[in-house]
Amino acid sequence: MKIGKKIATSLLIIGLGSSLMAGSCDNYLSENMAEGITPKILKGKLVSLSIYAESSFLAPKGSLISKARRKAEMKAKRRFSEWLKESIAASTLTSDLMEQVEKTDQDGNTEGVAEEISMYADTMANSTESVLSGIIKLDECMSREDKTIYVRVGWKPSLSKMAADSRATIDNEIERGESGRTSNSGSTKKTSKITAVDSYRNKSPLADDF
Amino acid sequence: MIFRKLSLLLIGATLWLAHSANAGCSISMSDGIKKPTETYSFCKNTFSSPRYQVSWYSSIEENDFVMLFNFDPRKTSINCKDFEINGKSKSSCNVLRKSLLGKPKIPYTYKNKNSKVHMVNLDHKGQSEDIRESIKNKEFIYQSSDTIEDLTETDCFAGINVDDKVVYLGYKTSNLTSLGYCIQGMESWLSKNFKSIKSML
Repeated sequence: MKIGKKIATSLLIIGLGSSLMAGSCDNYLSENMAEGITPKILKGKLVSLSIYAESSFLAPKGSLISKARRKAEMKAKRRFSEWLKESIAASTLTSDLMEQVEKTDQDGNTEGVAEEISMYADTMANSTESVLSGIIKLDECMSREDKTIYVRVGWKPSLSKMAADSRATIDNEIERGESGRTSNSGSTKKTSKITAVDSYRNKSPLADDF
Repeated sequence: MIFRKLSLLLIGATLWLAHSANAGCSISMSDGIKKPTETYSFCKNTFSSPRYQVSWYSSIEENDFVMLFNFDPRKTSINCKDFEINGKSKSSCNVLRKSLLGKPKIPYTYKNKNSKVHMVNLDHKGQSEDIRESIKNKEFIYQSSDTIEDLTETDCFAGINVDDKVVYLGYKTSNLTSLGYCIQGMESWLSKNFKSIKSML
């Protein structure tokens, strides 16, 4: 009886351990795509876009993981940029989007909604740079076991405006600084040690709004 | 400080001496049911030539990483180390046989009983072009880089063409350490997919 209990406990521990260790980004993947781009449209309005990308690293070495993270982020931005250029700018997709909106909208504002979507498309396609500056990271998961890092970045129309406003403020401050009107007070430098983990997930509190 | 150096030497020596009985990779993780704190990986050539060994030690809590790579000890004899300890990195390779120009003398082909291993110099335009074409045409049952872009970034390549019974190992003379990582990836895959290349052994 005792032996049987011990065996059962051991099996439970082994099973629990292996299930916890296997595919440490399972939660991330159950909520997100590995690669791709998804628009969120509410009542015919383009609310946000989520862009997903992944990148693998050759070995669980800190610098290689950092490189893979940067690569995944760049991949996501490039995907978004390509999507803007190829898909949104293409009149075929714009009309597809409009059609889709016409079909899904229940408020009887079909024409107006279609115009709004196409306006976003034009604005986004014409100012890729400013749109890209409004992209924020929403979620990230790294698995040493799979040697893969997954990232999810997002864009909202308001973020591009915020980024543009911030840029203007920074530019103004730099201009003021260069003309000698402001001075830098002694700043304290903070250092922190990065601790490595087997896998981690960093989800932004903003992620659920996208 | 001395203790740290000694422990590093010990880790290095353990990795170096660790000799897995079988080809492929042996990966072991120590401690913890929830997550491992240390990983040891030992890989050895599955195909009889070229001979190589890639071993690494990774400590999750200390963020330390040590990798040692030895390639073709009887001919070219390349020994590489790649460390990352306390946020500081060091990577270097020692090549015994060099050409008059100081480049490593790596044979292009290693012949085995039922297969060949081609050593592709990725700095060589013609040779790397063949690999790029093969990636495009999806000729490999295993490939370390899915895209040509990845190939450029990793500085190495490992691919297996079962139909032609050829293994391609790509390297850059400026970054031979990377070759160790691509070999490790391939051997790790071979450990799990041994049956698919049985005809090549």
